[in-house]
Amino acid sequence: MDQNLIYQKSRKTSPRSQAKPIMIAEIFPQDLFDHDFQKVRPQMTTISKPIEDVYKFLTDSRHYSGFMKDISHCQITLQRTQELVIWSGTTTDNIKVIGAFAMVKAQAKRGTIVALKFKLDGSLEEIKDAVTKLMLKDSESKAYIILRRLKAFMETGEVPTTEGQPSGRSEDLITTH
Amino acid sequence: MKALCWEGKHSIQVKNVKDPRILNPHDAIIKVTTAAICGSDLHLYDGYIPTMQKGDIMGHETMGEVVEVGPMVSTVKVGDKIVIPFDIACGHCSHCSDDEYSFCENTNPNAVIADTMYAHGGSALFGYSHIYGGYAGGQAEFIRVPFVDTNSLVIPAGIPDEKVLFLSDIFPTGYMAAENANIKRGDTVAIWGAGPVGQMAIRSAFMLGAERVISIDHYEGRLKMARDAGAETINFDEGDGILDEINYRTGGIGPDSCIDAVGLEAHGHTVTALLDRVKAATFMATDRPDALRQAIQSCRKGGTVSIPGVYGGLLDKVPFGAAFGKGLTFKMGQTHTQKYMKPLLDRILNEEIDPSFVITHKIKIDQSPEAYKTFNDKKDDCIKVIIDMH
Repeated sequence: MDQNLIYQKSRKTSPRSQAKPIMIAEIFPQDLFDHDFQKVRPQMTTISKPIEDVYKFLTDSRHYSGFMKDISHCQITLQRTQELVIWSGTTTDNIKVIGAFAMVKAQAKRGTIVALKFKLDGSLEEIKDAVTKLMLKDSESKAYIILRRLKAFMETGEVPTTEGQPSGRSEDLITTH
Repeated sequence: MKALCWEGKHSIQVKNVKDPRILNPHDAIIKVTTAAICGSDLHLYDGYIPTMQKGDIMGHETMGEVVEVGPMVSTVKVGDKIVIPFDIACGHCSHCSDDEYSFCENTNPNAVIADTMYAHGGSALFGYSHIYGGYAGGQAEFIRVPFVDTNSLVIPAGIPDEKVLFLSDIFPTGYMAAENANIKRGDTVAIWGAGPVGQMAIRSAFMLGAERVISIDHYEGRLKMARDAGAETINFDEGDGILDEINYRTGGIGPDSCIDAVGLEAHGHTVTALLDRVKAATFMATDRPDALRQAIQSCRKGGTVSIPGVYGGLLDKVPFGAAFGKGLTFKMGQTHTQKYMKPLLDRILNEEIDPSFVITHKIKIDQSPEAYKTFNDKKDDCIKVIIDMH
């Protein structure tokens, strides 16, 4: 099955046979993205919140620091009501990044399916193919992590962490004199 | 504080480490009063579970007193005595809403590792490797508990720790195993492994209506404990063949349900068990599933195989043709502990069961490294070790 295919039920029709298929390509309009960005495979999650809440949350870039790690100075560059939010930001390594959240209502009462395409901005065409693929792959991993953190933040109000917990490693040991 | 730290295969050390602190708004800090060593801790001890790191704090069977709570904690209060489930759940995601707490989607900071291995990873666990989140465990004087309102059961005053500590894992695990076995009144249930989870499963199977329970192990102390609960027993070191024996005892039809409370480190003397040992020793296999093979082969047609024993990787020579041919139902997975804690506490308070029967060793934290060895080597009739933490 095409993993990029999402089925969205119409509100007025419940039988599965009448489900309306929505392609990711429909959510991420091709005319808005360059060739490199087209090649980035979107990552997806389902958030147990209404699409209205998810869209409202994602259109306020001040929220991004709550779930983005190592990316700051985020700003919204384009938004389409309850469909699409495109943003840009800067990594701690001072690399510009661009991302696009797309969203559709999930079936039944499952909330909202959110997809994210994410890439390091720049002239990837100047880089050899193998490296480009690696960077694209890395972008997919980063997008996956961002989505997991977004989901946790929206559903629980916090992002899970163990940073700062004790361990028996040298940096956490207490030496007695 | 003092904490039991994993330092490598067969190496547990008591170390003096920093105290935990509140890291997220739904956290609490617990002063641990009693912890236990679980059979699944031995999978870490034996080096079977990947992504452990030197210095990781062990332990997932823990209880104690709340000494600090985060700003978003709403029901648990400082001073409460709580039992902490081994799985960490957020209480908000779709799985938590369906009481499937060990499938929680929001507590594992390393979900990308778990998802890479299993496509869809489960909840985080305390003290159980970095695949499962890398959270510091409860074999320590203090522990940080995320989402404490979800991950706790407040215990009424005056109840001894020994009576309720096992609500953290082995009692709910044994009970869920029995529940997963689809037991109907009058059924025969065979249970591989008479360790702590097997013992709880024996008693839970009877609670759920089993007429007969057959317990299979090869340690006499464990088999005696099983007989004390009313189970029939089979010592697989004796006799000609476990499958023939079970078939004989069930009138030639096999048990209605089979529970594998052994998991990935099965012992035994069958050809496949010996082959598993060789393959595991030479890194050609991750798991030694001989108990599971026997459970599948002996189960009656249309029966159920319930698997509370832990498996971690790819299993070799599992007789799936037999499973298909007999139309078996499989149920398995980490326990949704939070779902079972309160109803099982009620059973304890109603004196239907006192889970402390399983305790064979009570120790202080400084004795713990030796206790791990004793438990792992099955010496001194060791079945269950609890640690007095303060």
